Amino acid sequence: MNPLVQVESLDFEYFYKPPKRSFGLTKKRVLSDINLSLNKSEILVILGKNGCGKSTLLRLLGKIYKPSSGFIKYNGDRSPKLLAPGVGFMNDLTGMENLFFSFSLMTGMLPTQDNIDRIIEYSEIGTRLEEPISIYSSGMRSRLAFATALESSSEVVLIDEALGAGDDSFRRKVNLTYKRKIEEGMSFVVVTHNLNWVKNHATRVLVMDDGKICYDGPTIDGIEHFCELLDP
Amino acid sequence: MSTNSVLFMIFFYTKMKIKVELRSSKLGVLWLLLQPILFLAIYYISFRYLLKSKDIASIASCLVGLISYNWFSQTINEGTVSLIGSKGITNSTVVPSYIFIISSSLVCLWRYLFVLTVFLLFVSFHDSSELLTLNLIYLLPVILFAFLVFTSVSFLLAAVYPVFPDIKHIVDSFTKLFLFISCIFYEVKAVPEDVKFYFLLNPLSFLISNLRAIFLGGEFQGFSFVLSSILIFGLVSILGLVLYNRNQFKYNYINTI
Repeated sequence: MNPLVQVESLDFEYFYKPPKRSFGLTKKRVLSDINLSLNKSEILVILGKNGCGKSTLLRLLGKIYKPSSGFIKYNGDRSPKLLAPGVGFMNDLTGMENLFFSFSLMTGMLPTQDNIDRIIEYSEIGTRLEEPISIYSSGMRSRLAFATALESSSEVVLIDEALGAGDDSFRRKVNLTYKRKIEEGMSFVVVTHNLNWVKNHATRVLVMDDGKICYDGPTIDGIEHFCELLDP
Repeated sequence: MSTNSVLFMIFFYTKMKIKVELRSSKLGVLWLLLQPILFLAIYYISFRYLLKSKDIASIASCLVGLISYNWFSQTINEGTVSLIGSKGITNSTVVPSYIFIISSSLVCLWRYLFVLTVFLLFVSFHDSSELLTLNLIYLLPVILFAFLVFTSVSFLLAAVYPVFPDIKHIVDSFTKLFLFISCIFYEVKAVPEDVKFYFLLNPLSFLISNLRAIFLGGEFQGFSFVLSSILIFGLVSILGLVLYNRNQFKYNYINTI
């Protein structure tokens, strides 16, 4: 079976302005020689210390960044999408306007009536959708953001530390949604530090250290490998 | 993203930005009316009562210049920082970042058209016999031309700003320079003949002198200046596009600010 996403010999460098006065920008290698594949109905979790390049790898998979060398091959109908709850949210707009705007940013089109109905039902916002989000509680705001992001996701979803939102019951609802989406054939690449979630949901773990993959395999061994990395 | 999606995103983002702008103050949409009225009132009082000017055309003439200068300066300044300002969105989605430069330009155009409409009503109210001597149809190509030129300049500056942020200081000074070299406080006929051509290569001078011709009557600056300016600013656009294409993926992860 062809993997949905295949990464081969991927390197990535980013540019930064050095602290000393200089007109030029300096390159810094963030990822080197990354090789991985993602199969259908898989939850691949990327573990690693802060600054090891996990989020950068997600953005490369989501075509937000461009690899410096190597390539990423996509076999699915649509490219992977980064789940970005609340992207483009503006305080002066109503919940409905933010729903339209955020959905458009993530998909490039307006939501259909079906999309809107599903988002309203999922977020449990109800009639308050016509109020400006500046008066929403943080829980309501993140429920709307999450419901909109989930509705606009594609068959491969990239999640960067945004596994859940709102209260416990909403988090449980989100976790059930992930399970249902996996059964429907969707795949996830998740960056998280929540090892409990990883233990319960991941089908495979990838551990990164200093821009390189140092482990790719079963979940339990991956968690152990990561713990050793944190506390050698 | 398909072309249709890009066009849709440009207009949708512009619409949202305008909505936010209208709602970000207590008086909301009223400010759009009050701002130009206050703006016009200050200059009217300054010229009519403080400077004792009785020539309404000269007041109107300065106003055309100032309103257009504001448009130019807002487009350039807001456009220059638009890529960095939209980093939160471009770092999480595949929306092309040039959408935000064009959208910023469209928001400024919308403000300008609103103020210009108020201005048109203002001058018509004062003395309709001398005003609107040329067909208002000329307004469309003149404004469209200026819009394209201003947008191309802001595109170039926006493409440079993330990799060379110091350009913002240069832009601030240069936009102020344009306040004095763009025939705002004087007529184009006051410019010596031997440098007049170069004055009109400045798109802001071209815009102002032609708007004066349309609204207040006077010499309409010819097509040759449009061609020269298109040539110069065509080059600016090409340079902007080259720089943008070379750096577009860097904008998301460049860490300069």
